[in-house]
Amino acid sequence: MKGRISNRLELILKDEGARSQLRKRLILGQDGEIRVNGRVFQLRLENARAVRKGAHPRMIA
Amino acid sequence: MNFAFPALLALLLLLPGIILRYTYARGAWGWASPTSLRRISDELAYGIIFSLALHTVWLELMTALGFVPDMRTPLALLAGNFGPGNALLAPSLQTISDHYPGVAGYFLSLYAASAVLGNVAHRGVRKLRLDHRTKTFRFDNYWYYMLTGEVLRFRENAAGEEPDGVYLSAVVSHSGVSYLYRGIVTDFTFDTDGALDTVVLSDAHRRNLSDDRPVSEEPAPSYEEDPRYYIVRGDFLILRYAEMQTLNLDYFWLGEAGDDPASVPGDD
Repeated sequence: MKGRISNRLELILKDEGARSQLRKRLILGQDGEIRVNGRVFQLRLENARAVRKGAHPRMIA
Repeated sequence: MNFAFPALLALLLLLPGIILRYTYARGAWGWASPTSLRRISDELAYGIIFSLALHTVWLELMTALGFVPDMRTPLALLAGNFGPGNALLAPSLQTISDHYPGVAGYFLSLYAASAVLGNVAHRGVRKLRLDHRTKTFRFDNYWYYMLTGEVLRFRENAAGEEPDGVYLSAVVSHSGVSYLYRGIVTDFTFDTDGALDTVVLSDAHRRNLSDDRPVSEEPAPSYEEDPRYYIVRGDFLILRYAEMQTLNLDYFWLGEAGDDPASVPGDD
């Protein structure tokens, strides 16, 4: 990863349709395909949690 | 002799170690590298140790170059004790005034070398990923490693792949109502003490926290059909760390056709 986000993610975020696909999958917490400019990226999610102030982590779709 | 002079001299002597520690902790890349600033008391302890080592090396170097350092003068000035009847005071002052360019050159060159050494050490640790391999070299900046996903590369975390992005969910309260803010971390800032100050999100969206879906309920087939979410308009949303109550991080990877399916790497 270069800087804060990778070049692939930057490419997706610049495209409204691809960004919407990514947002949908991230909200639902689902792996899947993201299509942008004829390229297909496979999204893979894993969870890691940082919890502050003793509150419980709620990972809700 | 003013009583404050020994304190000033002690500071001048400790400065190389403090500069080394500071430049090592800050790094040369600014925002793109983990910065870590400890308390002054901690820095002072490190400063004393590193200063002793740096002065030893620099004095040896000066001797090798043909300059014979006079150790009696600085020690007498530091102790503020010039013997019976202040017999050493006049010779000490005379030595300094006679060799002022040399004394100034010694300190300035040592300060510059300390700064360079600190920067080079920081770069070396980052380049060789020593901070991922061992806690000894790890910078005291937990949030940097968490928010960039570098924490996954730590040896104790099985040295996994760095993610392509970090999806953040944070609970923030406004006027007594709790909201779940979510978005992709694109940047973050630290305050002057080195603590996390703000997190910048792109593609941010939020919903009321009380709209939690019951566990038994199936999720909506897509977020467009999920009326709970509200897209936050704008390119970036800046959340203040002090206002976040709970924080959740999801790391994600983006593999492309042709990548090794067993490992979906990042771009680095």
